[in-house]
Amino acid sequence: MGPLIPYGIINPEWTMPIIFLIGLGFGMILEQAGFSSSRKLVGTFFGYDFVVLKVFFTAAITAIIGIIFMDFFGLLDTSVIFVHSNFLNSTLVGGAIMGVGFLLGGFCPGTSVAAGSIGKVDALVFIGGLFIGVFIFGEFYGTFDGLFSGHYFDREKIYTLIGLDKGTFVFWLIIIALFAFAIAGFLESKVSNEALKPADVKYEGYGLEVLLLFAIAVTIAFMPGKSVNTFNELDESKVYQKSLNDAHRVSSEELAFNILHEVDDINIIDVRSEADFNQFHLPGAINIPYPEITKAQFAETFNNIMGKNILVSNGGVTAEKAWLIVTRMGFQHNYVLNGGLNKFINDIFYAPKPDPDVIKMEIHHQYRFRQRAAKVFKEGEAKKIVSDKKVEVPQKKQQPVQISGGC
Amino acid sequence: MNPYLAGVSLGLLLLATFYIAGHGLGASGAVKQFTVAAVDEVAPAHTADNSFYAPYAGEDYSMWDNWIVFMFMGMVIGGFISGAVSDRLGFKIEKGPRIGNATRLLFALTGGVLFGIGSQLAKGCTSGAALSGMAALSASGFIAMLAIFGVGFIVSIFFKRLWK
Repeated sequence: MGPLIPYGIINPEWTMPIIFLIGLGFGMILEQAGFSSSRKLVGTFFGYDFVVLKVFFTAAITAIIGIIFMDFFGLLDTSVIFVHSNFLNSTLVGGAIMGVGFLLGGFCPGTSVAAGSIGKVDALVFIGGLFIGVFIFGEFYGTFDGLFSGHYFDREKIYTLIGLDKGTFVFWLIIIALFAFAIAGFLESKVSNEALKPADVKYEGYGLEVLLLFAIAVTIAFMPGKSVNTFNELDESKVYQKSLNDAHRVSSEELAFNILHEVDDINIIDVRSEADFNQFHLPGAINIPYPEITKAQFAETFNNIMGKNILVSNGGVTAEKAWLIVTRMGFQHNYVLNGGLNKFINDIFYAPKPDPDVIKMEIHHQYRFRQRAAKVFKEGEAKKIVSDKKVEVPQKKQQPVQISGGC
Repeated sequence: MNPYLAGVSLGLLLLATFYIAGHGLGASGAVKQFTVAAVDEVAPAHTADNSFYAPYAGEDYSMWDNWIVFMFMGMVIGGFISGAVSDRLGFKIEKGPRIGNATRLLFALTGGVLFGIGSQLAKGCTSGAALSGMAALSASGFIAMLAIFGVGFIVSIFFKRLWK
């Protein structure tokens, strides 16, 4: 399931080469679309060449349709994809300033890069202007910032803003785009000046494409809610293989060490009943009773992308069963406290003093660590350490990865 | 290239970017990175003091940690390759028939300055805010698009001479 890099399916080290290749494609498409020509770009505003309108809206609609279908089939987790959040007024004023800039300069930043790369001097000057503009903004940031605050969009969707459901909104968007394309074609054909006419205009022969797009629009309008669950169920034999090796089992010392030092971003999930949990639980642990682990609201907790979940129960058997289930559901980074809380307490608080005749260093180390850990736990230090972490049983979805935006 | 084919290609590229990286396309963000890096080089005390520059300045921040810089590099090379293949390379000033080179360049510079300021306010330009935002059906994306093109149309009434 995507997005691939934030979900760790592609190693983040590959981010930059991949993004470079995407940029390569972006530059090529912009240049090939004719966006390296400022006169072509502003043509949309004067009605002699609607290439911007056509490319821009076709691209937007293609991506919208793609994202909707990928979301539907569980291929893309749209809750984590990055969208800028901003103030309505800043967006409006900023957009208006860019509109003026577009008409005067004949480019927008992306197209100016494509045009500058083939040697268009006006584009290079435009890029110079961009730097000055960003610099001016930076210097007067104190003045600009907060000037246009008002109605903060926290990743609000356009259809909720208008009050339509997603399918209906996208349906009408596609219909409006089809009309816009038709009108653009009509206006282009009316341009009297032959020199201004775009060379690649073709007004007929799009019947099949229009029909296909219309069919997609209707499908989206009547598309039911997501029917499939988005997790990838793991094959039985794979779960079996995984359960045989000990890699998912965490020892008492390993858990204690993690709690005390926060080596990894660990999340202790106590799968015992609520009553047991209230009686005693490890510092920072959250309670998801075993019968409830398959509930959808806990899916994101068990699918711990960035850190590790350690499942605990009294003897370790219930936690092991819970581990089998969540692993079968395809969730990653779940571990089991080996021997459960009983063994943990025995190991840490009632550690037997090793025979002084034993010369093995590990045994003595282990004993000393257990004693230190017991002391810290008893004095409540550990509670203080984890109380800052604010681990809660999530009722709402949590964002697994903060993806940073660029533009 | 047929504009609709170009549009579908661009849309698929944008979709792939969301699928792989979890974010959209962008261009003006790179200009911001370069600008801050330049200001930081000249006046590090100043950047540390300014809350616009500060997150992207200083010893422990490098613009090479930001993906958008690599996208920008890719765009430059991609555009060049495309221009070379289609035989469009060469230094040239493109302008409307009724204005001179100096006027064109002056307006190009002005347009760039405005776009630079506007993109920082709207947190993105035509590609980063409008196109990528629209793809994710975000309200700010659609509003940015309407503002850019709507105002562009209004202004076009007064600046016909520049282009026609």
